[in-house]
Amino acid sequence: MSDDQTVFIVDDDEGVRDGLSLLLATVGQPCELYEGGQEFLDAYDDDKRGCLVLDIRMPRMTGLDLQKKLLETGSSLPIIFITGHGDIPMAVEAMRRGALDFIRKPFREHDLLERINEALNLDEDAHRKALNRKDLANKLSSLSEREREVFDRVADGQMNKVIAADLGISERTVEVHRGQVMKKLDARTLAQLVRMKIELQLVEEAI
Amino acid sequence: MSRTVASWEEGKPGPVREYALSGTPCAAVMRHGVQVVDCELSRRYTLDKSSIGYGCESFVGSAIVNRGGTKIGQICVFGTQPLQDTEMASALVSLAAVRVSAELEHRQQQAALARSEAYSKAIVATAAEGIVTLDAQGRIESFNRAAEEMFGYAAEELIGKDVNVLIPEPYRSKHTGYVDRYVATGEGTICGAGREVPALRKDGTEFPIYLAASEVLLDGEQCFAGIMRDISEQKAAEESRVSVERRFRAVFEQRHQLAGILNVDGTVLEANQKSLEFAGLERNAVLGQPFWATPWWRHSPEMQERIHDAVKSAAAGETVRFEATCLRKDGQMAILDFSVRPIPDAEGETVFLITESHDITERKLAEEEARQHRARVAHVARLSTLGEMAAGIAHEINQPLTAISLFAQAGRRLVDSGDFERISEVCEKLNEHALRASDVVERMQKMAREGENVKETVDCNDLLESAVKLAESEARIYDIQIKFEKGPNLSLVSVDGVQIQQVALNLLRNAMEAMIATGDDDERSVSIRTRMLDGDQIEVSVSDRGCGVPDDFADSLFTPFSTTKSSGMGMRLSISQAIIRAHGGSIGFSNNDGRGTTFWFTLPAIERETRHE
Repeated sequence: MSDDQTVFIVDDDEGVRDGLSLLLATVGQPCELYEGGQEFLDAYDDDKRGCLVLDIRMPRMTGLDLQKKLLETGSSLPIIFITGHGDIPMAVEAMRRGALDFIRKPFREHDLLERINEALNLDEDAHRKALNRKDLANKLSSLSEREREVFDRVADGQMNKVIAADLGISERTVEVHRGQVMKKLDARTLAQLVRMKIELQLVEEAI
Repeated sequence: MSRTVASWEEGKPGPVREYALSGTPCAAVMRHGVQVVDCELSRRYTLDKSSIGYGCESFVGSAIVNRGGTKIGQICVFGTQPLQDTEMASALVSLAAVRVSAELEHRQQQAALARSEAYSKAIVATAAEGIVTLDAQGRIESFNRAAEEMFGYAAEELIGKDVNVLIPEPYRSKHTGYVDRYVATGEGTICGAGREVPALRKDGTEFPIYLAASEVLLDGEQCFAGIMRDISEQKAAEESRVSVERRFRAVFEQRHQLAGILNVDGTVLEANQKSLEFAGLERNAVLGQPFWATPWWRHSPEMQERIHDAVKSAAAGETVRFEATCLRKDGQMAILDFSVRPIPDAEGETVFLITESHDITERKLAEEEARQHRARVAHVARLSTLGEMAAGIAHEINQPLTAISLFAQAGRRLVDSGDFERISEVCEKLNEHALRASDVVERMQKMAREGENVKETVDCNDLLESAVKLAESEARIYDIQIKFEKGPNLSLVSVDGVQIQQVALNLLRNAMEAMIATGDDDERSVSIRTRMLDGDQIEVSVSDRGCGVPDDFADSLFTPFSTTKSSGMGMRLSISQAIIRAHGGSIGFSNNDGRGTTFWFTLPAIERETRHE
């Protein structure tokens, strides 16, 4: 858990919001309270880190509606749904869409805090990965066009000879470009290059 | 003084003379009946010149004696010569006196007869009764004016005719036989006591007469006289009285009603058979008793008192009606629709009282059963409503429970960490949310409770508040807003609160379901309004902006098991209708001008004056 992470609580019931905020306060976890999905969206931006504790059954915008909207914006904010009796079908739908978990009201603090903790770790993880990707992207952007072409083919496991024939350049020139790529991307082995390529593909697919 | 009636002097009628009797031989005649003086009359009776018989020598006088022996006068002869044969003279004069007496008697009788006949004629002519006389052969001899009027004949038409013309068949033939037999044998019943017989008018109509016939023997011949009175009116009146009495009896003794007649003071004058049989009583157990003290009411002093009060009110001119109880013959308690009302005479004065009772026990039991049945159905309906609302209600209860759980766990952490500063606030919150949960439970329990049909006097707005809150638990789930527009200055209503809440809840849920069915997102609100109508009704209306009621469904809307919805029994509106009707109100709906439907019901208001504030 990190200090710059916030637990966002969205619940239409004031009592539940107050209770949650007091409980989180006792464990020193900062939180923000919202009485509806729209209020949360109005205040939320992508830079914010933490997790969402979301009531699944709310007037106007349900928890599922909010989840959908967040997914559309590409948010990776982990969501813990809080559900009441009889909300199982909705909870299943929420899980299918990638919610971290759901907790039934009323909650045991252990379950709740553990889930929140897990969510914040996930968020932390995601944050770190995001930073890595950003770094990688920066590095990639420093490659010349020819170097990028060589990188793509090397990471795909092609032999220098094949790459040279493919691009219509000499094998020696391929070797020079390959050395530049390793240097710029701060990679020491071929395996590292391959992993970068895969990660890059994931990011591109995600976008 | 005496006076001569007739005299004969010196060969011709003499003058009328008046003279003093005393001192004359005439006085002796009046004393002795006969007096004879043969000579020296004047010397013997010292008559002076003014005296009758002055200068006469002899006298013979005889008293005229009537049938009763009273001397009413005398006949006497004064002679100027001495009498030679006094005996002969005395006999002749006495004979004349007797003859005169007889003649006078005869004349008097004649006069009396003439007078009597005149009287009779006058009486017969003017008598109100018809009088007819017949000869021995039964032929009419006289027929008076009253008889003429009675029969429509003139006397001349009838005289000499057989009396049979006045007698209708089949009596006519018999009559002839009677008369003949009576004349021949003296047997029969023609004469003597009067009796009622049929008679025949000239125009052929029959009518009843009262006939008194008598037999008269005239010159050895049997004659008959009949006195007749037309009694058709009397008969009609009699028949009408009998028929009125019979009709009264028929009404009074009919089988389905207990009836009685009381004196103004409440004494029982009459009780019909049904009322006696009902309680297994003898007539003499109630007749003459004060009505309230009769065995009918003996089971309850309170009932006796009510009956007594009712009789007093009725005697004062007021009709009183209430439900009374009475022990039946079989010992079962019966419920009577009892009334007592005054019967006034022509002047409006109460002369007696009529009591009526219908046994409405069965009806009351059926009503009670129907009421219980309705209550059971309403109860089942409430339970099913609650069942349908279970998700909303569970959610509604779960919310405060969740809050309580959170506050309790946070509170423990605060205590563990030695932070007591906020504990008080936490406890406050715990209590607040516990109460919130219990409110929901209470509302639900009230709605689920067995219908006791307890009427309470309440403010309609207060009553509906609770139903609106229950409905809101569901409304939140479907994101529907309920607007409660409370009418100002509402009168109170006397209702079974839970039932009315049930109706309001039914209408609210219908409205919400209509909104959900529409699936339109704008204006997801349902309105419930209260207002006064014309001072004596309160109207509650629930409007939605849903799809409205299809025309072809409007008629069967309040019929059980009719529904447009895919789920549900279609009982809601029919139960609502039963509840509202049982409260004396009405229920209905209209499609709104714009969109949706408004359902409304009315309840009778209680006077505002009785409102406790």
